[in-house]
Amino acid sequence: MAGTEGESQADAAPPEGIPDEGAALVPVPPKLFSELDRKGKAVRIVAIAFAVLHLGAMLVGGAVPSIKRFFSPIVGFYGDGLRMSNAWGMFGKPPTSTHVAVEGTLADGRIVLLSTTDSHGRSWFERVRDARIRKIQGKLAEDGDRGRIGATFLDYYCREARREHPDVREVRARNIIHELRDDDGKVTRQASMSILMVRRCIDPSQGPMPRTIPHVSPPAPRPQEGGGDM
Amino acid sequence: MSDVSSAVAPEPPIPSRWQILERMLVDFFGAPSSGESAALFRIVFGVLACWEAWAVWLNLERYYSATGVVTYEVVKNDAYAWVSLFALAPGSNAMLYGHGIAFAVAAVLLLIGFRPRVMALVLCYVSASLQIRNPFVLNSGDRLFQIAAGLGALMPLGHTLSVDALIRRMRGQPIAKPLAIYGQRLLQLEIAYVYLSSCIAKCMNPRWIHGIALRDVLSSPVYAEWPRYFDFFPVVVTLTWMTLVFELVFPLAVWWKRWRPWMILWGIGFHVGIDAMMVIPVFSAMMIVCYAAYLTDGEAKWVLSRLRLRRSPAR
Repeated sequence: MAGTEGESQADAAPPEGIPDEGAALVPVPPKLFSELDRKGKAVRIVAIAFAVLHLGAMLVGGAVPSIKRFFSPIVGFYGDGLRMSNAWGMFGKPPTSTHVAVEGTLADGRIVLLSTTDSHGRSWFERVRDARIRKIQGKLAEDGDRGRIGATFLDYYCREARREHPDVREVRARNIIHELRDDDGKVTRQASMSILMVRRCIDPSQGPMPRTIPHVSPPAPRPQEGGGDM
Repeated sequence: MSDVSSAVAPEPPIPSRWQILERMLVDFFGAPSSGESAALFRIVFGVLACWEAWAVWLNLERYYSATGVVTYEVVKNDAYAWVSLFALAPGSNAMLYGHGIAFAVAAVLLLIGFRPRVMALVLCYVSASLQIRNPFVLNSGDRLFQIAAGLGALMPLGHTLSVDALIRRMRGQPIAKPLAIYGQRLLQLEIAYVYLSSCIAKCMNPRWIHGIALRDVLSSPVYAEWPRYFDFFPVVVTLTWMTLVFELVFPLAVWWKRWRPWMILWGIGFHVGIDAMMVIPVFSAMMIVCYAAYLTDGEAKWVLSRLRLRRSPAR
């Protein structure tokens, strides 16, 4: 193990004549608890307590909900309150997310694309700016999260759409469900679309304005490539 | 004739199991560091922090303002909502821009090494505060960024290659004392856990065990840069199992000096591949940045000399 296999953190000797901040490092082995003075013991106890807290929160953060609940009184504030732990099961389950587009309907019936989770065809700058839009906008496809944030999310796009389209009547979230195939290549789910939520635009207050992109009226298989989002 | 037995030093007492264990733990967490490795970590993490700060500014109003996509009313009853400074003044623009300014200033000062441990703490807290204000935009990369910033505050970030070191030198003050690599060890363990935890989660899904899971991932138009169904099974199974092998082997082998460079090179290739083929922001860059924490000071000094940030140790 690093630090226990005979290698020191300062194992590269500085060249002669060249001043080096590491030159004063004397590889003295750290003291055991019994060898420490009173202040050293106090520091060691705090360090051990923090290490146990952090490593405990780390393990609990990736555990099943029942274990999380059990240890919540001990590591809950550190892990969840201060956000110092997480579950890291990346792609442990097959990805089920779909693209979600937010569209505005104008007075003349035209549809404008206001925002999409699809980053294909976006410029480099748009990718940086919208790197996290997939996370939040994708949640509109989930019933619970849509109930929590759907209204305020679409209200925001009502205000934004008014910057370029003062006659926007309503804003809607559209779920763009992609085709799925089984392991033999047979289609098990056809590509389709569904409207997740519609919000009438009644608040004319304005906010900051990302750009909006004209969109071919639906139904279309997916938002126009190369257009980017708001 | 002198007594031979009196010249022989007494046998040292045989340490107990507890003492052996304590010595191992103390050596592991308490080994002194001159700060070269922490400095390399600080520089690459600082660059990423500046990038993150820019991303925060681009979305400050959209994601975190009172007129943004998530109003404070939505999150005000969440557990630990009070931890965020937004709880004090949810609708205040001063609070909003204060977060943006604090994030950006802390990122720049961390990069140049001015009070870097304090700046790492500021980044950790501001990042948490933003996550609490809008938990719906959180991704794993953001969470890892925040954890690394918090643990970074326990590292000797400013011992060398920093404004702090320059100020000390200009004032004629002695160089900073070596600090234990305690914080670095915690970050190393965190990264190892990320991989192991991910590997275990994947192994519980039969599609990963059967070697077909990456076809699901790479065919997803949401996650894949060029979504398509891979029909050639050997490619899919190789990619799938190589992912599992890497996530299992890295956290076990990276501790050995002999294997470390190969593990890190493998990891960089692995994450560059993910970044190129998939639409997952920040996470890969964050993992690569954290590899710097695995280097010893000697290894970090070698890397820094190659980057022309430090004079070469070889004459």
